[in-house]
Amino acid sequence: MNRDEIIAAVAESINRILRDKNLDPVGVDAATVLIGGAVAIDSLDLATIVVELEGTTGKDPFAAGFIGFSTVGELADLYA
Amino acid sequence: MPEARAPCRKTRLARFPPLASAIVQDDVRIGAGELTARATGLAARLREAGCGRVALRTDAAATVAVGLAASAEAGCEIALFRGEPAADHDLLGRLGAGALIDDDLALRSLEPTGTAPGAGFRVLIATSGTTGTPKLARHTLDRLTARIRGPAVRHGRGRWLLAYHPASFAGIQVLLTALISGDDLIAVSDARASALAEAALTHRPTLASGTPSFWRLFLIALGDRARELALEHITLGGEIADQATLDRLGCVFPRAAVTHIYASTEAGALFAVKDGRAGFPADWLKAPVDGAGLRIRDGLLEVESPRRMEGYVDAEEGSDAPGTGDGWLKTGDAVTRLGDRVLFLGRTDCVINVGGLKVSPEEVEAVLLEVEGVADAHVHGTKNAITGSLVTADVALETAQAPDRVREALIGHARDRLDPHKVPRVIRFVEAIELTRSGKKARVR
Repeated sequence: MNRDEIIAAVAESINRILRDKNLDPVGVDAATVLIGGAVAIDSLDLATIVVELEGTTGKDPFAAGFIGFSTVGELADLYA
Repeated sequence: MPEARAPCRKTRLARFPPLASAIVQDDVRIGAGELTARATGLAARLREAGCGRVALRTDAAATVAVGLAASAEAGCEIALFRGEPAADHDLLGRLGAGALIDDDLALRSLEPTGTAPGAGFRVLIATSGTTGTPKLARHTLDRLTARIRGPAVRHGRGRWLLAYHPASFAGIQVLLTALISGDDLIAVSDARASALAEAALTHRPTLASGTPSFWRLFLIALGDRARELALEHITLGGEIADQATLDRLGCVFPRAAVTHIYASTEAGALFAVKDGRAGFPADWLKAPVDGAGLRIRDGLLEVESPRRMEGYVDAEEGSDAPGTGDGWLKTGDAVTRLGDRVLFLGRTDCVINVGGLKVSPEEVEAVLLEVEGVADAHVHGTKNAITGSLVTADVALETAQAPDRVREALIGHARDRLDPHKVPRVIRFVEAIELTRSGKKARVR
């Protein structure tokens, strides 16, 4: 998967999570801040997104330990 | 010129520490005078009510501080519960408390009226219930404060950021540490990492304590602004502190002393590792550290703790933590000795540790099985870099059904019946649940 496809996968995950919470879907792009920004997701939601990305891409960029990221684009870079 | 603090010293408390700190609760600063006045008023109401045991249900650290101080003054037991309705409901019903203290510090009589006599001032802390029904561990003030040092040598009053729930064992430790040290406390009832990051950027803590999962999320939420915080002391607990997280904290907060703590509700606070390395020195297996004995049996860590709880409150649930028969406690943590170090490998039981909060798979499975059309469910943890583990459910259906509809029903029902961290985040539909040769679900051990 390339970076754009991974960003699209993250957007799909975010909006499914929001639907589960009875919240409206949001626009997601590379600059979207994951925690503490305008998107109402919490730590467990973010963990869910990471688990789904690992399943989709077959990659585990955190295998050697935690790596910092803040936006959807920075997260996608880890899996691209 | 700021006043230098007294040298670090070990403190043994005969009395509850004075409420000489301020608590910034949800951006509202409550000064020491106001906290003391609230505690004095509540203590008077507790004495008038003649309760030997009371319950306090709140998500606010300020309310916990007042409740503890008032109960100490009135000489009664106080059981601490989280504010969310789903949590500990059955436990509160079985407690036999005379009254429930609400967030407004009013006393509400419990029906039927509790008759538990209490044992003088004790703090009753809910366990995670990972080995069955949640229980209340009874602690004395002496044991709760035995590892807490007095004021450290530093300039000015410190400010703690509380990232644990204030009704949890770790939360109470941070609260008591702040009170004994005369430090202020910053707390938010909505303890998401993003809310804590906002509170930190607004109120500028100098000390902070949370799980490794909290710290990872906190760094994500802060982004580049993390370096604006002048943290001097960082503690981690409740989960394995991995080397990558310790290193990252050291890098982002180079002025901070980073300590990871090993403790449990039953065994109390055991030891603190201050050398910045994961695990603990193997030498600590040779002689007690801070009075606590450590040994490895069959790859598992066992402890002998002078700060262990007195026992569980409800004797019918079993009066003591899982022990070895010789006074040592089984921790359930698998460890390995590697050179001069003992490293933690994870839980040996089926407990799922979600960001420091423990989840019993059986409890979640029982709730999922209540959903119509579900034939069986197998709940387990999926490892991830954010919260350590995530609750995952494999679900077998009785007949072919639309997965989206069943998934929606499962999540909706689980949300109604379970605390948020127990709700499965990943649901996979399977033909059948795999069983072991003995006919049991395969638990990860």
